[in-house]
Amino acid sequence: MSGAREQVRKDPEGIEFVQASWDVPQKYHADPLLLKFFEALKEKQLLAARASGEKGRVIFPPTSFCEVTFSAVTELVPIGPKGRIVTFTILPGTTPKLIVFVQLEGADTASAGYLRGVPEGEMTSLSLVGAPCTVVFADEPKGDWSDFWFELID
Amino acid sequence: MRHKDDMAAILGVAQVPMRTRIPEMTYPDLLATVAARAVEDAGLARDEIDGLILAQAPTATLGVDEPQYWGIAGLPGAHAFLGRVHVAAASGLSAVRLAASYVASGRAKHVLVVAADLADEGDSLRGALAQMHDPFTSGQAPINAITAAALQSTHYMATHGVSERIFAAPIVKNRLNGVGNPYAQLRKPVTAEEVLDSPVLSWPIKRLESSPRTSGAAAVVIGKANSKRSVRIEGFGNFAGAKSIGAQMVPGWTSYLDGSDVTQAAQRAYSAAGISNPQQELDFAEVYTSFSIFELLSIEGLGLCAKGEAARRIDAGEFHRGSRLPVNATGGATCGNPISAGALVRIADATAQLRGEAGDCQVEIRHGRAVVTAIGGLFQTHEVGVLAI
Repeated sequence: MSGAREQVRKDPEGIEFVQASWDVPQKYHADPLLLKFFEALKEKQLLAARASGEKGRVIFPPTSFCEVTFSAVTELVPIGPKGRIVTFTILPGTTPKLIVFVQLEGADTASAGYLRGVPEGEMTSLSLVGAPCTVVFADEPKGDWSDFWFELID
Repeated sequence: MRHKDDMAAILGVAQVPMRTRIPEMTYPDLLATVAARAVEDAGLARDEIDGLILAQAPTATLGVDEPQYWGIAGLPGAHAFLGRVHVAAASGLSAVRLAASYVASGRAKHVLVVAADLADEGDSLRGALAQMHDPFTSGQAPINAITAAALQSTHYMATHGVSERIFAAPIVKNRLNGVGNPYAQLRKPVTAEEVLDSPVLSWPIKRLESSPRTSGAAAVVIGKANSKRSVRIEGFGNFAGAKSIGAQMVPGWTSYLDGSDVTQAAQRAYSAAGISNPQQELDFAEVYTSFSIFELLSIEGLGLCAKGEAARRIDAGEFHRGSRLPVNATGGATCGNPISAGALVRIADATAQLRGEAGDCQVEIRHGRAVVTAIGGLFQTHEVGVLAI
């Protein structure tokens, strides 16, 4: 563990603490299918993984292994952009933010993201659950999660 | 069913009063303190313990990497075998399940399970908890323990057509129960209005719906029944279902949101214990309530009432301490939640109840049977145990 530092700070009750912190740099490597998914985002395309066989469910975001069929997954298929909101929460703040959990058309799984464009006064409406929505892409996608979000559709 | 004498049993339990901080003790001091008391409570000598399992939540919150090496020196049983169970808040019950397997198989005679937390020594749980999941797919939105429980809460409201006001019910009940529990961290009652008016953490969850940050410790000794105070473990059920919410679910998202993972674990435990009608055969339940929604889903998942009805039943007086089937009669995790030790606290409380030693929190024991649950991760690992005396 590198970067541990020590110093004693004063506590209101006179208890002495040793302050230490962790600095553990980590380089994660991504699932190869997920890297292809990030690349496709630059083309404003959503890719999911399709497991083989009869129970070949469509996994989004994509993974190289299906934990239902216990088999390797190599195939990527386009999904969305439409979907349905499964549930949501609101992060409070000066600008409250809606986090939604969406099942996209063509996917057997659901996934989280931001829902934009809902007026603040309508955010707590339970009619959002089950509401249709669509993926909206940023004008210049960079190949990461910030490239897309969800908006309501009629 | 197995003969009673073949079952593993809880022989001894111990816990310390839960507090925000326990500055007079270090992590190993806490482990040693509860270990010694649990072995004494079991009526055993320390050299009769031939196995040790540490239950641990994310160790980053302790600020110690591999804390078992700092903590085990001199603990009973460490010389025979050392185990470590690390499934977040489910760890205590998972560890007891493993200890019971060792005892039932004859590979060990007495296994000590121990856990401790010093929650005040770290700045925030948020950084550590954010490291629990796939760094790529969990980046799509800030999904953490609070937002994940909030997503469940909203889904529950939409499914059952109820408002956020229902989430106050378990909290008001539990906080009132905590007043009589000398081990509870929070011992003042709250009103429904106070819960609902507390700051929103992640809508619909309010601050008072969430457990406090807690330091604490607990220990349990598992062996073959050796006295009238021994509490038999009649059945376990566990179920590890969904991955982190935010990434894909396995096998689907419904089991995460509707609580059916709890049902799966409960059915396994009931089947092992020979319980067919939990409402008629259990005296009480100790369930994991780090958020209000967990208690509602757990009561329903355990088959103690129909889906969508738990809050209404609590408001009508059911599941309170004086009722026919109390839930969290000592206040539960609502009144103190040392994450590593929490499930062991539930077991210690349930054991005290079954023995008739729960003092001001004592519930009526008619059947001599109770159910205990634990949940780890973001509603991912579920443990259910049926205890009997």
